[in-house]
Amino acid sequence: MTKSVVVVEDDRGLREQLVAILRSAPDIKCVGAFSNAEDALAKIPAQNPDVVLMDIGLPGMSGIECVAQLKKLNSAPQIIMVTVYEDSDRIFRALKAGANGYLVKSSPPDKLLDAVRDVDTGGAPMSSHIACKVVEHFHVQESRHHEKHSLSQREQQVLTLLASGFIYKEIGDQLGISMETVRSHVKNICQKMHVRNRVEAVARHQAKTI
Amino acid sequence: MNDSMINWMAAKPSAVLTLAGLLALAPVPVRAAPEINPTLIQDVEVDNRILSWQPDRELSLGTFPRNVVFHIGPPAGSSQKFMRLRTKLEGFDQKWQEGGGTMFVTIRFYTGSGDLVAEKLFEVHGESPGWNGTLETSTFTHRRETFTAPLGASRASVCFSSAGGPSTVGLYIVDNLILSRLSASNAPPEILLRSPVLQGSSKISSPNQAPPGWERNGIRPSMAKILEIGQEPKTKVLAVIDDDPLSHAEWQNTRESAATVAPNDSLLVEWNEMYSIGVSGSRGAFYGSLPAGTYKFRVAEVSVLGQPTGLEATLALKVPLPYWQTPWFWGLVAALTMAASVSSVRYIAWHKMRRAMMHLEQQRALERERLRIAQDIHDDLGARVTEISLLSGMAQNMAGFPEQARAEFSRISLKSRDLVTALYETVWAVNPENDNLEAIGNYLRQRINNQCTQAQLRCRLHVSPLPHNIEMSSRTRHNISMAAREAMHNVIKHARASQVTVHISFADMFLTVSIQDDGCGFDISADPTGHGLINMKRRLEDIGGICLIESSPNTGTTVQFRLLVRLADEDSSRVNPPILRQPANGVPSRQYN
Repeated sequence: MTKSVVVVEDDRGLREQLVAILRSAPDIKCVGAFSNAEDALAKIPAQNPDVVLMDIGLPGMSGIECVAQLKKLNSAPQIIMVTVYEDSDRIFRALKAGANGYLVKSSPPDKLLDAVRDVDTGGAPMSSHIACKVVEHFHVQESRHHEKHSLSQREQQVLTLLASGFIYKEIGDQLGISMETVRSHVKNICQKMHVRNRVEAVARHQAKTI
Repeated sequence: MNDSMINWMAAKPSAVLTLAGLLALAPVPVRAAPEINPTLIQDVEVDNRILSWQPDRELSLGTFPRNVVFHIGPPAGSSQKFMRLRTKLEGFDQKWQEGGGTMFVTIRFYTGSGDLVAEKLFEVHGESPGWNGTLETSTFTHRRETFTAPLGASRASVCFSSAGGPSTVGLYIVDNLILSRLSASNAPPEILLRSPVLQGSSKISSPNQAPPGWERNGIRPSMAKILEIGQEPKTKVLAVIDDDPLSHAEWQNTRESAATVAPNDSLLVEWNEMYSIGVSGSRGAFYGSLPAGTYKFRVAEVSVLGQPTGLEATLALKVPLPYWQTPWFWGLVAALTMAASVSSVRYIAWHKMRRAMMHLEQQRALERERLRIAQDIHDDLGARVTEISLLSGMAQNMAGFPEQARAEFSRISLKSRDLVTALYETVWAVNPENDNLEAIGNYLRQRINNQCTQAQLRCRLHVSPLPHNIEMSSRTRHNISMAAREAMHNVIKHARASQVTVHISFADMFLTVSIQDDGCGFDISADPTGHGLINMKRRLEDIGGICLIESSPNTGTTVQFRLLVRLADEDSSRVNPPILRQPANGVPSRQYN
C-alpha cells in the first residue's frame, strides 16, 4: 500500500533532501512540500495525505500549532515531527498537540522511511528522556482526568521501562510481549496524551466562558 | 566745723528721734503692688552698645554678652529724685546690690601740734548682717580691728562718717566703741577712748545735743543723730542717717578728748555696728559676661533705711544660647544627620540595586546573545549539516555507486550525524533556558541513552527528580556533560561492557552522577593518566566538584561526579560562555591520585 506524504519544512535544502529520500522509496509517494505552516494548512485538507513530516520550528505558525490544527481535520493525517535536535521540550509539546511520533532529521534515510511506513503501528521509537517527560505528565495530571484517558497498567509499565533506558526489544522481553505490542502501547500513550490535552483545552475553555 | 555751724545745728528744733519720727523724717509711700516705673532704668548697654528696649518685652542681650551695664536712676537733667536705688539681676545676683555706697569708722592720728598724719579707715557697705530694716529689732554686729600707731602720731581720735562715696545715703550706727592699747605683756589692754554711754545720761535731753567729748561734723552735721533703738527700754545710740546724696555727716570725738598715743603703739579698736547703706541718684549697674539664660533686672527704690517704697522697675532679659547650644539646633543637626544617613543608605541601596540591575541587565543581554548564537547555530549550521547527513545518507544507498564510494558516504553520513550531535551539545550548553538542574538531568539522560543505543549497550537510567528552580551555570553544565561524555566514551571504547547503569540524584545540595559499567575494568594505579581520567578530574575540579573512579580488572568501572550546587550561582562563568572554551584534551601530566 502506497503512503502519500506531505513535507512541511522551511529550509529549502532540507526540504528537497527529505522529498528526495521519500521519492527514493517505491511504496511512498510525496504529494506535496511546503515551506510554512499556513500554506500547509490551506492545502493539506485537499491533498488528504496519509502522513505529514512536520518540521518543529517553522517561521510564523509553529509546527506544533500546525499539528494541533491538522488534528482537528475530519480525516487527520498521521504526523511525524522532524527536528534537527532531539529537543525534549518541543517534542513533548508536539506529542501533546497530536503528533504521532518524531524523528531526528539527520537520521539515516532507512530510518526515516521506516518511520513513515510504521507510523500506523507506532512510528519512530520514543526515547528515554521523552518517555520521562510523558511519565511526569501523566503522573502530575492523574487526579484531574477521566479514568478512560489514564494509562493502562501495561502502558505505565512500558513507559516506565522506556524512561529507565530500556529499548523496545528489551521491554518486550521484560514484559513477555512482542515488540509490535510495545510499539502499539507507545502509540496509544501518544494518543492518550493528545486526547488528554484536548480534554484539558476544552475544560480550560469552559472554565473561561463560565 | 565751727561754732556757727554748731549754733545752726542747735537752732534746729527737733524731738528725740523715735522710729515714728524717723518715718516722718523719711516718708515711705506704702503701695500694695510694686509700681513699674520704667524711668528707673535709662539704658541697657552691652559691650559698649546701647540696646533699645521696651519695658514689657523681654530684651535679648545677644549671645555671649561680655560687658553689661544697666544705667539706672533719673535721666540726666530730670528733676526726678529717688532716695536710694538698689538693683538685683535675678538669675545672677543672690541679693540686692546697693551700688557701692560706703561709710566708715576711722581712727585719725595727729601730731602734737594738731596736724593730721594718718588715718585708719574701716569701711562698711550694703547692710550689716543683723539689719532687718527696723531700728527696733535689728541687731548689732561686733567688729574688732588691731593696728599700729603711725610715725609722728601723738594723739588719736575716732570718727564715723557717711563720707565714703559720692551719693552715699543710709544709716550707720556705731555703739560701744573702745580704743585701747595692747601691752606687750599679757596685761589687759589699756583703754584709751570709748564712745559715750548715753543710757541714763540726763545730759542728753535733745537729739541735737552732743555727748561730752563728741561732736557732729560733715557738710550737714544735722544728719548725725542720737537714736533710740531696740525694744523698751530703748537704747540711745550715736548714728548717722544720711539722706542727702550731696552731703555727709559724722560723729567724732573732740580733739580735747583725743587719746594720747605713741608711734608703734599696738592699738585695738572694737565696736558694735549696724548699717544699711546705699546710693542715690543715677548710676550704672555693671555685670561681666552673663551665661545664657533668662534674667530679670529689677531696680527698686528704698527709703534711707532700706525699706522698699514700692517704686520698682523690672526688665525681662534673655541671653540666648548660641545656636550650636540650642536644642533646636541639635534637633536640626540630628534630623539632618538622620536624613543624610537615611538618604545615603537609600542612595547606597539604590546604587546597589542599580548595579545589581545593571549586572542583571548585562546578564540578560548576555543570555540574549547566547540565545541568538544558539539560534543561529541551530537554524543555519544545524540545517546545513543535517542536509549533508541526508545527502550522504542518500548517496550511501545509491545502488549505482561503487561499494567503496558508498562506504565513504556512509562515513560522511555518520560523521555529519555526529556533527549534528556535537552542535546540539553546544546549542544546549549556551541556551540560557537550560541553566537549571532539571535541564542537566534531562540532557544527561538523553545523551547517555543515545550513546548507549548507538553503541548497542544496555542502558539503565535511575534519575531522581531534579528541581527546575535551582540554577546551574552554563559552564557547570558544559563541564558535567563533557565529563559524562568522556566517561561514556571510555565505556564504549575500552570497557567491553554490555550494560551501563546511570544514577543521577540530587540530595543535600549535592548533585551526584554515577556511570557504572559491567566491563573489564582496569588497574587505576597502573594507568593513572589514561582513559581520559585526567580530563574528567580537571573538568570537575574546574567547577568545584570531584570525580571518583572505582575500578579493578574484571569488576567493571564506576565513575562518579559529585558537585555541591551553590544557590544564587554567582561565578563568572556566565560571562564566559563555554562555547568559547576549547575542550582541553591530553592535558600534560598532572599527578593522579
